[in-house]
Amino acid sequence: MKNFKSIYLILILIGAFSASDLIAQRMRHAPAGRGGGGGHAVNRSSINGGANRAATRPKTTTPSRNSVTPKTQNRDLSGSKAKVANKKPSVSNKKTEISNNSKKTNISGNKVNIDNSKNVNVNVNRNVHVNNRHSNIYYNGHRGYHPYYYHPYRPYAYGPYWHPFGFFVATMATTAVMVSIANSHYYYDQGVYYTQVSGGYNVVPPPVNITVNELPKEQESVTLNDETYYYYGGAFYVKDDKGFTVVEAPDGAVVTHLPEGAEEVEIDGEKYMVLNDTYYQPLLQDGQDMYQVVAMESSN
Amino acid sequence: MKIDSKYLIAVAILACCWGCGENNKKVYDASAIQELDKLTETIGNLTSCSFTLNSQLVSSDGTSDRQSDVYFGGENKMYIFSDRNDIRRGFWYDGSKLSVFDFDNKGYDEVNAPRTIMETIDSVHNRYGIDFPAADFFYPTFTDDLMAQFDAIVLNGSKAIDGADCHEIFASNKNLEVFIYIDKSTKLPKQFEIYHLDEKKGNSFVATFSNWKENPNLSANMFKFSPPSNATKSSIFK
Repeated sequence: MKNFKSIYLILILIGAFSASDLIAQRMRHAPAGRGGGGGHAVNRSSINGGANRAATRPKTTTPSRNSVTPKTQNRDLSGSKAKVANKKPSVSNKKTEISNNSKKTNISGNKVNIDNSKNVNVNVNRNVHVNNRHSNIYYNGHRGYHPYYYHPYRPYAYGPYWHPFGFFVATMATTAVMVSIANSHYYYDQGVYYTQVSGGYNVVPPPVNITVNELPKEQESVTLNDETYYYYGGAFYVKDDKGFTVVEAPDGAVVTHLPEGAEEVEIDGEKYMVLNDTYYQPLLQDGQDMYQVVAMESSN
Repeated sequence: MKIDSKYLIAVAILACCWGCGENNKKVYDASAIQELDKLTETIGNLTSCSFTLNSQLVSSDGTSDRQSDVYFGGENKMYIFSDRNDIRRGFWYDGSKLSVFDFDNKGYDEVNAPRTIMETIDSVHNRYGIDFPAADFFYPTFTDDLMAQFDAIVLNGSKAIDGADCHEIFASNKNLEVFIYIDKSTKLPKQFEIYHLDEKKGNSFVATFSNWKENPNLSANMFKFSPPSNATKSSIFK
């Protein structure tokens, strides 16, 4: 009777373990963190503690070709793979979905934003769209742009010395220095560039390739694919022995702040900020509202 | 003639066991096991990695597509951005806490998590039924797990997947058939396909890896999550 009970117990166990339901993460595994093999040295730097092989294994053989044949019929390899491979959502698909969500959740927010921000104008249907090639580019290990996540534009207040492009001042600060490039002369003071006009000075966008000695302390260091940029007031710089040189906004760079003077535009139902002809996509990173430089191309 | 019922039961059990043994003859191709071991070892040697997984699940409920960008940093940091049928979620694991954020509903949830990625994946799968993409491959005992669950594992030859020359490994038991494609040059998984033979016959799961990055420099910040100001706490883990 005792033997009978043992056999019965074994049968129950076999039945329980044959109830397999493997889809994706569905296999039974040796308990994570404990390992199945004897004497397994855990590799702490490894993503999974290092490979672990059982001390004893079932016997392996060298079977003849086709000794085990699949029963699965109609395995539409090319079809299923094609669908999967093409799953990477196109920007246009994404936009439709996000646009709907934006409408549900952000309309009131936009109105508040538009009403309260004197510098914001919302233009719709610009003849541009996000360049699709970003989906095949890695930005700091992240493929494609970050997911679009709308948040209202709040111009960052850099301080009293900061002025938006087009701003007019009658007198130049004594701390300003003159910088030049290509026979054009500018006054530079704490991250802001001026040109002399009748009766005073106008703030202008930072001229690309111009070099200045220093940036205000609110500068951000932005790392993008092993390149370090310095960002201040909507302008990107690279640093060398001569100082900080203005460069075009690098595609995919993520920044924390946009200064006063940006314009909100709606493209395919999504809202982007435009500053000095650079488009910034709102996003959420680590719970913080941020912006990513996105490359646009003409829809025509 | 009166037959002892105990004798009959014993004969029936023996017959059943014998029959099972005949039907479940195990075949483990040494070449297939060797390639699986190489894959397991390659993954075990990674100190960080990232990849994209495109998957398609076909079931009686329809077809579900999912794309996931997965980042592992050491044994205790993970970030996954998943887009399943246009429902976008992020998972952040920083070594002590697992956070999930629903990008569309702006809901988030957090739970205390075990010490390692694998323990966390195990725990969340067991407690909340949440599957992480292709997690099976990342268990350090992957080859043994396969051998424990499949009666046959053979090397079926080679096949090109998205231009990559791959080993095709076929595994089966009475319920499932699985095809695993391993990139010959990287020893990393390229694709796997699962087909049901049981009562769920017709269900399938096909997933393709791309954009593998081995040991990339991943910032610790990308594994941390703090809820945005307009997010609400939800019961996503339940």
